[in-house]
Amino acid sequence: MKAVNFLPQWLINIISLWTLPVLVVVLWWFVSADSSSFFFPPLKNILAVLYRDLASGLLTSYLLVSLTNMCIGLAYAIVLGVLCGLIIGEFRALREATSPLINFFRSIPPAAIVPIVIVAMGTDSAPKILIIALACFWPNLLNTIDGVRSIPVQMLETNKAFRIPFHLMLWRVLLMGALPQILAGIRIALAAALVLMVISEFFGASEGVGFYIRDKKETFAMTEAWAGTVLVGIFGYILSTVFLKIESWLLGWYFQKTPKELRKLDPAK
Amino acid sequence: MTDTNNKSLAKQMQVQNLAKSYGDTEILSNINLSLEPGEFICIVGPSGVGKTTLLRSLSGLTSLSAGKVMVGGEEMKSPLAEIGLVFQDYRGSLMPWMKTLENVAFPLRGKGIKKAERNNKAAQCLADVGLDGAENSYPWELSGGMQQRVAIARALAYDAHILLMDEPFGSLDAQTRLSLEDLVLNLRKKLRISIMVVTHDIDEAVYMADRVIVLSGKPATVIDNIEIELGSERNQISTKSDPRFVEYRNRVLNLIMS
Repeated sequence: MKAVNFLPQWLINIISLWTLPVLVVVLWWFVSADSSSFFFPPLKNILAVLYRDLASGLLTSYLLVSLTNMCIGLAYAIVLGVLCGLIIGEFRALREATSPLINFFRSIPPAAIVPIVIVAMGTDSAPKILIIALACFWPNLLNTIDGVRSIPVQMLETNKAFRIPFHLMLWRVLLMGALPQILAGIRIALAAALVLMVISEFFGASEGVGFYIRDKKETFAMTEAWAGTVLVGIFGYILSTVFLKIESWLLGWYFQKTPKELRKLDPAK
Repeated sequence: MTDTNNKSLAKQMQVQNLAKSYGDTEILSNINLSLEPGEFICIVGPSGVGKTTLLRSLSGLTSLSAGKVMVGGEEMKSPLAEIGLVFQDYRGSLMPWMKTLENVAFPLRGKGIKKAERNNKAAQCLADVGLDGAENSYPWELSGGMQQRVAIARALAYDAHILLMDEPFGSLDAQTRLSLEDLVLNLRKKLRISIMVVTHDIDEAVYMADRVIVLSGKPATVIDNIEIELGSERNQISTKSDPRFVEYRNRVLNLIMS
């Protein structure tokens, strides 16, 4: 039953999705409009500065540098975390042997290693990628292990009885069976990557969005610092939205519905 | 013994003095039985007696504590290509991310068979269980009975001449159950395979089997081995109202209840 049936469904969807965010922005806009606080400049000024520095190419090039680091770090973490997770999850002995170590390392807050890595490795992009990869490795690893563990024993036994070779088992059974948890892990990692992307540029960096925020703060350009922060927020939102789309596309079987493309091919479904 | 015996492709399976313990608990002890080529046997016993453990031992999924399983005169050490397995829980045994056709063809992929060939074979086996047209559905789009038929098709596609089924119809509704019993009987006749079904349903066992094997005791042993002489044609109504059927059924029931 539709509560409001004089509006098309897509419009209702947009309204219900966007009402609150728009309200918050509008509220922020008007509450801050006459702000004379040094720390909380008007939103209008923040957005103007954001537009100015994006248009001049300064922030755009910084953003590109930061996102490149983030994507490379995240990619390393996903590939290594998932691969190790599949193998550790599959073999009980390995699971038991590695669990104390994993539990120790994953309890270290990733941000805590930033100073050490920067001092040890210098200020180019390699240490930043390493920091992001390290932070993102753990959620990927742990979720993949859990994902493999959640595959029904009967499914593993069936495949064992049918003598499925290990490589097929790995890619078609373990990876696919663990995929829901793997993607949940990547989502956690994505949030961590964004945080570490910024923090890793706080120390001894000369470019990047994190550098921009810290640099502006140190020169007391609070409006610019806010602009950088808002930009990170916007990108975090875009990334997680895109990721959710990818997730629901990859996990059609998990949510027990056929992907739209298939439904189009076969209207009977 | 049925008249299809001499044409069966299946190897004889022989279980010799099989025993299985978990830790100090002895589940099965001194089990001797055989599955002749083309034969259909049902293993019944009170629940928790170790029927599933026996089937797992026979499929090579679990190691034996003593004794051996011989298939075609050779001792089985690990799962064999001749043996196909069908579990009770089809939801846990079919992979929800694969369409029906891929689920059936997957074990063939493991054997290294080319895609076109394995898909042909899988489609053929799906047709054998009456599921032509369901190739492109996901298992979860099918009913329980259809999913269990997919699992049966998968075992057939694997070229298993010996089918081991663990409570295959246990989680299906009564009507689906009856129609699948007949489907399996027909497959046996058509494909001349040997079938061993573990069940707790005595009617089902007597209705389908050439021989019913009764397990009982702690640890479980074979307490009876009953030839079911109801002919090779079975019918849900006439067979089940045959006085001999009732007699067999009561005999098994008495053994299990005592």
